[in-house]
Amino acid sequence: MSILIAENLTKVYGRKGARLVALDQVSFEAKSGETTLIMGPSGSGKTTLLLLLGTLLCPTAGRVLLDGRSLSDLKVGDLSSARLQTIGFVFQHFNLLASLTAIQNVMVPRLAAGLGKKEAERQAAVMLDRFGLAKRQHALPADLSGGEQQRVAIARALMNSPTLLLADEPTANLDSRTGHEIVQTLSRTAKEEGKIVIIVSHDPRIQDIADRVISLEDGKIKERDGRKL
Amino acid sequence: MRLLFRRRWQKKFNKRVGDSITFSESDASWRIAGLVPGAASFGNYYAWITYPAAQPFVTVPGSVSFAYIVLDHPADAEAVASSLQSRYPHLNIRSKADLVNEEKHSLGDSFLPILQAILVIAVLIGIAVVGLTIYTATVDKSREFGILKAIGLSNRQLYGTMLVQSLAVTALGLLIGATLSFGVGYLIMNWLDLGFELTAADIGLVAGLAVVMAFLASVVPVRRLITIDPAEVFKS
Repeated sequence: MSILIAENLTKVYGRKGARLVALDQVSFEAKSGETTLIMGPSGSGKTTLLLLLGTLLCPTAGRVLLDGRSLSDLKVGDLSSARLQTIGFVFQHFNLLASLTAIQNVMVPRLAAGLGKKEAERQAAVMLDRFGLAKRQHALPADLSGGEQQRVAIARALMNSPTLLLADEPTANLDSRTGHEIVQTLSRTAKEEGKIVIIVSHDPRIQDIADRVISLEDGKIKERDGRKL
Repeated sequence: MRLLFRRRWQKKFNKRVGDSITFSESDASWRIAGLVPGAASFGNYYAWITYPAAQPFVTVPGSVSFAYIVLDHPADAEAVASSLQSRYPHLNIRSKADLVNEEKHSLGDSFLPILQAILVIAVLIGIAVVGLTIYTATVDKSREFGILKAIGLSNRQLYGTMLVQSLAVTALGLLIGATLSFGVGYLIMNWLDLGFELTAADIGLVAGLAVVMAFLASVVPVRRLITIDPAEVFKS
């Protein structure tokens, strides 16, 4: 059982003259097998929270603990390794590498982790097959539909068996049916593989699928699982 | 009198071995005794002929620039030169080796600094071209590099990718450059009738220089790479 703890996370942009408190003492826990949905309007601090959880930003105060290890205290040199091994990202704009085929995109994290090309390719093929993309593995991103691209992105995010899967507005560029399928895929992955899945979205239709819902407003938690704070 | 004829001149002057040739400065007829591939020099030319044969060609009859002494025992050249120099201190006595060395140094002093300057400029231009190519590619691919950083690729892995790109561009330039050099060399030898030599050692030296160029050319793109913020890929 893995546990993610966000402990009094605070992020302040700018300095004295023009300070912007993007996130103000946000705390919550998420466990493996659960899907946590972080909602809120534009500028509420959702993406900042995701970046902090993903070690792509350093908090001004507070810390992120994953299985008791503080990700916020890692040295700069260790951050990339921590991301590669323990965190998977799913982006709003899919962010597949345009010049690489689907299978090559999925291979990237395994190659970066030091696996040989043949084995990485074999594992990537298995992963794509799992997401129903066996016949599309040699297609370039431009030739894939939005839903297919997002499934490739999820496959890529899962390649190194991360503990934590972070998804930033994964349904924003998809039609409602495909978006629903993608979120269900993420939720199913959390349950079947024991991942901690955090989804940032302002799409209210996702709420039913999530195990926990956190609503942010002006950088603070406004509601937690429907209860106002 | 006999002379050796450049092979290429056969066609140019429509002459063959055994034919005779006359010069406007002399009434004497010269027979072509053989063919030589031709020699070329950017410096001084020396033609060693007998004193009577040279007379029609010198501006001041009876004058002598150099006297060529053929020894029965060539191994004694240094000793003979030394002995002659002490006996005739007003003359400049040189062995064949000395003459060759002097010519080499003379060429080196006059042409080498220019060639070296051209080489330095060429290397700087090469670094700039490769660097600019890689830098442009890095700027173009900023988002891709951001994605790779977000996924967890280390800066070292990304530098490696960039260095491979830099080496690939440089290797391509080296291949094109070497091909052009051989092509130009062929033209120099066959059209201009000048000497040209490009050895494997020369290519190796340039290849080594190209590797250094590739490293230097990747310095600025690497600095650009460092500034790419992976968080940017979360923005539209």
